[in-house]
Parts: sequence; structure tokens; C-alpha cells
Amino acid sequence: MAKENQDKVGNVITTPNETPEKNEPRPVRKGRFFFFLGMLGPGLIAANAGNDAGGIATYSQMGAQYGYNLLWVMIVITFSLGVVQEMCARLGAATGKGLSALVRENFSIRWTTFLMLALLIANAGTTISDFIGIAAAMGIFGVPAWISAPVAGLTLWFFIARGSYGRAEKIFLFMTFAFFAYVFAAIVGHPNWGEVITHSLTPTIKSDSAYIQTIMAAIGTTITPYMQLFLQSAVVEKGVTMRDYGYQRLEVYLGSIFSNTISAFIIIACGATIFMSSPIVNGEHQGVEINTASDAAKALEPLLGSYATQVFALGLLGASLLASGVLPLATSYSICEAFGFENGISFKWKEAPVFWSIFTFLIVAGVGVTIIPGVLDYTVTILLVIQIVNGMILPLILVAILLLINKKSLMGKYINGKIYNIIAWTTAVGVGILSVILLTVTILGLFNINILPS
Amino acid sequence: MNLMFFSLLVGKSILDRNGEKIASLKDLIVRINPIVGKSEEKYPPLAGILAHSNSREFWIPAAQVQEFEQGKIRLYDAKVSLERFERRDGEILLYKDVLDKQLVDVEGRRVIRVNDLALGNAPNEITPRLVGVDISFQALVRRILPFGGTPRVSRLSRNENLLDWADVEYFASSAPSVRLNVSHERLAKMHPVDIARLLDELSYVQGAEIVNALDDETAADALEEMNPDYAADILEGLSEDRAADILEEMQPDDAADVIADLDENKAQALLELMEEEESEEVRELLAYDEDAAGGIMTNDFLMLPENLGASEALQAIREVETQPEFVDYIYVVEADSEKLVGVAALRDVVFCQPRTTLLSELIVRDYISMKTDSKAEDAAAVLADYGFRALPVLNEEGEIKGIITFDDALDLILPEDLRRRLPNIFKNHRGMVSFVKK
Repeated sequence: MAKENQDKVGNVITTPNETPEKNEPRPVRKGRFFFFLGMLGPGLIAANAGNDAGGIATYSQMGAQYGYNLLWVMIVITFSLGVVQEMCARLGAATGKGLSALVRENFSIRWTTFLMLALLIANAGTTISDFIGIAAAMGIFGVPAWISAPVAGLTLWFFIARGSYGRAEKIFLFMTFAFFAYVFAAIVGHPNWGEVITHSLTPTIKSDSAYIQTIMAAIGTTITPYMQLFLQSAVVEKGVTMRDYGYQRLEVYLGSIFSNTISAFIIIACGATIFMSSPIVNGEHQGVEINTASDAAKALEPLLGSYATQVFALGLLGASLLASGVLPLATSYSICEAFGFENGISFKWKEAPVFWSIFTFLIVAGVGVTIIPGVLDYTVTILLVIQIVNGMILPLILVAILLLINKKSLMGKYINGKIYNIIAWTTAVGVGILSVILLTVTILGLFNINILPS
Repeated sequence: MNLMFFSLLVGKSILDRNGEKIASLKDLIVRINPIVGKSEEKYPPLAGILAHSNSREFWIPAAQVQEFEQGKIRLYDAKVSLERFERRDGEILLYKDVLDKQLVDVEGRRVIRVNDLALGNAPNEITPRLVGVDISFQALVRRILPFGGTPRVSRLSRNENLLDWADVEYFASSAPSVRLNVSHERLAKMHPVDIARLLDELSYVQGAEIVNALDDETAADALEEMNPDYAADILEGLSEDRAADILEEMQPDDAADVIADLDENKAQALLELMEEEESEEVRELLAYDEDAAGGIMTNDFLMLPENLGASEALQAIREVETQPEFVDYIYVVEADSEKLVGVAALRDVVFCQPRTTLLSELIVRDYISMKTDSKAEDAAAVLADYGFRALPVLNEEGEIKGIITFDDALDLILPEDLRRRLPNIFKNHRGMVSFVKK
């Protein structure tokens, strides 16, 4: 009896040999399918965050001023964006480290400092542009900048510092869906689709400095330096490794195509409305410069009528809030990661002073610039200038990424293939040359020397 | 002992016997954790100098050095052979492999980044050893600015910014081009929760290196404390045999969570490699949806037939092969099935008189239970509401399949804000990507 009981006990205390469903045990849970959906995350969001205040301003200006002429730029940029983002995702998956940590470990300390400074400038600029976006959107609802910007700044600061930002983020992301309206607005605006396709496939080259500046801004806002950092951190944080990298790559490509498609529709919508209603000289539309958020919202009028400005403002608000929350945090995190300072919102100010200082400084800078009287009258112009600066900093970051990803001791067999290197180096060098041209033109312009016809 | 800072030595002249410059210092080679006699040496000794002269790079063995001080590096000979440096096992380069890399500060239980390195001469030794790690802001300034100034540290004492080399651990993965044997002995003595926190902060490559150096049990304890997704990444970096051994040591419910996050083929392979008993437990749990009560329960618990007497029951418990983590309650079933009759507190079984009292008399019969497919959140809420330490989980036939313990339910009960601040979330990019996650 005792023996029998022992056996019984020994048996039952361990596990019964049958599975509940009495069928073949599956090592994979039902939740597995969502794994794939879960992977559809960082890339899409990083790409979509490209359509923030700076992005909307730039794409609207491209359409309003040049009609469909600049659509080809978006096609070219899509390749570059896909390749650049894929490289960052691969860096993250292969090493498990963020971009700034890799920069610190593989470049000299002075280069690291230089790159981090460049990044700080670019991201401070982008943060400012997003606070301007918030104020411009709220302005449409009748709230003056000196109220909306400080309130947004304080609220974001506290939400993030208390670690309860997650839910707010989802709301912001949801608000950005307002920009899908551009796709329908473009269709309702009855653009000449033949022209749209022609201009998408054949480059129009103009040699006036405004045209080059606009291209530069498009590059700067689409391949934003901060997005590459963000994407890589997100890939690392999600624990993507080279074994499950296939999904991640697909998602990065889809994200690039998706976000640039939306961007292209913004250009088409503005081209079909604002540009087409601009004065005609010598049988050609001259295009108009847009300055304020309400100017840009006109592109949505054929679709939404008198609601156009409100819907536009809602999207702009969501996108700007989304970016102005993520950006200061991501920037501060990256810089601290590079220099080995304590970082993370779970640390108190005393424990991680540098982290909190950079974070706070960026928000204060954003609010501070936005409440300068009169800034909102030049919203679009200011945003464009900031995107141009981003574009000029981009080659530095790209070269760093390229050097890292081609380093055999770091990446092993996951270094770049030939075609990849060609596209990426062409992007880096191309943007670099464009930066030099732009810089030369601007500096000469200060001395009233014009080498390009304006 | 006078300390020298490595960053200030780089570029310094190397003099020959007659005091003439023959090259400048490019990097220093040290032997990491060499075994001398029986014990490991705490401070890596200098193995050689990597020098360059007229754009040629060559290697000077430590034995040729006559004098090595902050301002002066002098050799015995007047000539050097221009031998190219080739790494030997166990050798690392301070500039290339240590500076700017991450180390674990074992004392401080954190990951640090090397801003500078301190070298010092032991009494009666000509060449210095690597003795400390400078993580100060001043060290950064010193290296970034052209005239950053000389530090005035003369005595090595453990302070916030200057760590004793003996208190840190180096990652072999920081020097991918050489085979290193880094023991991580001190790290293995840390508390598993602290190890888990470190692993969370490190890349999965470094994580796998650390886990590889731990014994199975410690590794299992640490992985249990981590986010299963990330624990899975680390396991993927280990050999399959090792990964299976660690999984066997883990609580079956935690092991199931980790395996569920692995690639399907890999998961199948590991389950095959595990001891049958453990893999069966895990397989059973894997069959349940992860949001269901079955998905968060463990099947490692005490189950006894109702016709046992109290002392027989205790005897049976003692003879169990693997002792379950949770033993507060004994789940009492019908003699020849797994149908749950009632729940007995271990305390009652231990103290009851007479010792022949049957379990069936000690149990509470109107227990509260969950079904395997109940929502995990509901189960957690019931646990919290009634203040139970565990809840039995039954299938449709009323057979007990597992139990949900309070700690399993904790993750679901804690408000999101609080959970975010718990250890494995203390790294903040989570704020940035939280909307990606559930």
C-alpha cells in the first residue's frame, strides 16, 4: 500500500503525461501570430514619425511651390530611406546595441563628441519645429502660442518623467491618421495623373537656390537623423536578433514605402490645389510660398470644405506631440549612452543629472523659440530652414552608419552587400555635395553674390 | 603607488638605451586574467607595447622595457626588431579592446563605460599593470579637449569614479578578434535578480557571454527574472545543450514563456534535448494560450490522493524528486484520478493530531478555482481579492492542471505605471517604444 502510494505520489507530483487537448503538443502558442504583427512596429512608427510638423511643412511647400515637379525626389528618397533604415535595423539586430553606443565603441572619442553635438543640434532643431507645429495647430483652434506651447511642454515633461507616457502616445499616433485625408484630398482635387506619373519618373532639374533648398529640406525631413537612432534603439529594445531579422527588414521597407507614399500624396494634393490656383505667367503656374499652417491646410479644402483647417490642425497636433515627446527622450538617451552617463526615466534628477538636463533643455528650447512673438507668421519658412539643417547633418550620420556596418569585426557576415553600399554611399555623397553647394550659395548670398539664377 | 593614465601615455615617445626616441606608443598589450600558479592574477600585467615609427607599426615585448613611467618609457636595447604584432590568446589591447567599451562593475552592480584606464607599478616590477578604470567626467574632458589637463590622482582608492580593476569584469565579446577566457567568477556570485538587471541592460551578445559563465541554476534563476522575450534572445546565443540544461532548471511556467518566444524549430530542438520529465511539464503548459489562466500557471505543485494519512503524506512529499517552489498548499485529489477534492494547508498536515488523520479530513472543500481557459487577468484579480497565495486551475473535467501563484499574478495586477518602474524595465527606451508593445 505504502509502496503503491509512493508511486502514485511520485507520479502525480510530477506531471501527468497527457496534454489537456490530448493531441500533439505544440511548442508554439496561439499568440505566435501576433509576433509578426508586433514586429510591424518600430519601422512603421519611425517612418510615420517622419510626417511630423517639419515633414508636413516641407511636403506642402514642395507641392505649393513646384506642383508635381519634385515628385521624382520622393521616389529617389524612398530608396535611400529604405536602405538607411534597414542598415540601422541590421546594426541593432546584429550587435544588440544602440547607434550611439556603437559610435563610441568604434570611433575616437573626439569623433563621438562631434557626432553627438551634430545630433544634439539637429534634434534640438526638430524639437523646436515640433513645438512650433503644436502652437500652429492650436492657433487654428484659437489658442495663442504663449499658452499652448508652455502647457504642452510642461504636460509632456511630466507625463514622460512619471513614466505614464505610453497611453498618451497612442492617442497622438491615432491623431496622425488625420493625414490620410491627403490621399483622398489628392484624388478629389483631380490632379492630372499623367503629369503626376511623368514627374515621378523624370527628374526636373532647376538651378535656382530655392529649388535646391527645397530638395535639401525634403531629404532632411524624410531621412531625419533622429529617426535612425530611434529605429535602432527600438529594434534593440524589442530584442530583435539576426535570427528573426527577416520580418524586421520587411517591416522597415514597408514602413519607408508607406510613409513616403503619404508624403507624395501631400505633395500631389498641394500641387492639385494651391499650385494650380497660383497665378499664371507665360502659360505656367508660378507656384506660391506658403507661410502659415492655415495656408497649408487649403490643400484639404476640396475634400473637407470648411473643416479642412480643423482636420489639418488635428493631424498636425498629433504628429507634433508624438515627435516632441519621443525626440527629447531619444536624444537625451542617445547622448548619455555614448558618454556612459546614467540614463533612463527611472533615475531621479540627482542620479542622472545629464540625462534630465538634456531632456529638459530640449523641451525648454522648443517652448522658448515658439513663444517668441511673430514666429508663427513664418511657421513654414522656419520649419524648412530646420529641415535643411537636418539634411546637412545627415551625411555625417550616414557615413558613421556606413563605416560601422561595413566593419567586419563588428558585423561579421552581416556587412553590406555591393548594391547596398552603392545606394548608401551615393546617398551620403550626394547629400554631402548638395550640402556643400547649399552652404556655398548661402554664404556667398550673405555677400550678395549670386552664382545661381534665382 | 603612482598611477599613470593610459590616455596620457598614448603618443608618448619610446626611448632606446641611450635616451633617443625610436618610436611612439600606440597601444598597450596586457594579458587578461592570467593564471599564475593556482590563482588568477587580479591585475593584468603588461605583455608588450604596440609602437609606431615612420608609419610602421611594430611590437615591443614587455621584457625589453627598462623603465616605464608617466614621462618616460625606456628600453634596454638600442635597437628594436620591427616585428609585426600578432595576438596571442588571452591578450587584449587597451586602446582597441578596453577603452570606451562597457564593463560590469561588480561592486556597484551596474554596467559602466570606460573613459580612461589607470596603470600602476607593483613593488619590484618594472612594467606596470592595469589597475583601475576611470569613469569620471574629467577623464572624458581630458581626452576630448586638446589640453585637458593632467589628473592629480596619486593613490588608488575605490571612489565613485575610479574603480579597482579587481572589481570589474571584462567582456570577451569586446575583443571579437581574439579568443579569451574570461571567467566572470565574481559576477556569478551576485544575486540572480541583480544579474537579471545587468542582463537587461546589456546586448544579447554580452548577455549570452555572462549566462554561459554561470552555473545552470544561477542562470535559470536570473533568466526567470527577465522579460521572456529577452531571455529567449540570450538562450539563442548559447549552445543547444547548454540552453536545454538551463531550461530544465527553470520553473516550468517561466521556461514555457521563454520557449514560446523562441523560433519554432529551435524550441522543438530544445524540448527534445531536455530531460523528458521537465520537457513534458513545459510542453503541457505551452498548449495553453498565454493570456489564459493556463498560460500563467505552473504545473509544479504538491498533489496527493485523499486517502493518505498525514504522516504518509509528509513522507510522500519528502520523497518527491524535484521539490516544487510553492509548498504552502497541498492539492488533494481523488485516489485514482486528478480530480481535485480540496486544498489542505501544509501547516495543518504537519501539526494535526492524530498523525493518521486522512487528508480528506484536513481539506477545505469549497475552494475557489479557475478554469484553464479563464482569462489570466480574472485569475489574478481573484487571487488579489481573496488574498490567496495560490489558486488551483482545473480543466473541464475538474482535474487539476496547475496552480497560479501570487508572483505569477503580480505582473497582471500591478498598475502599468508601477510595473514600468520595476527592475527589468528600468531602462527607458521603453518610453519611446511603449506603443509598439502591448
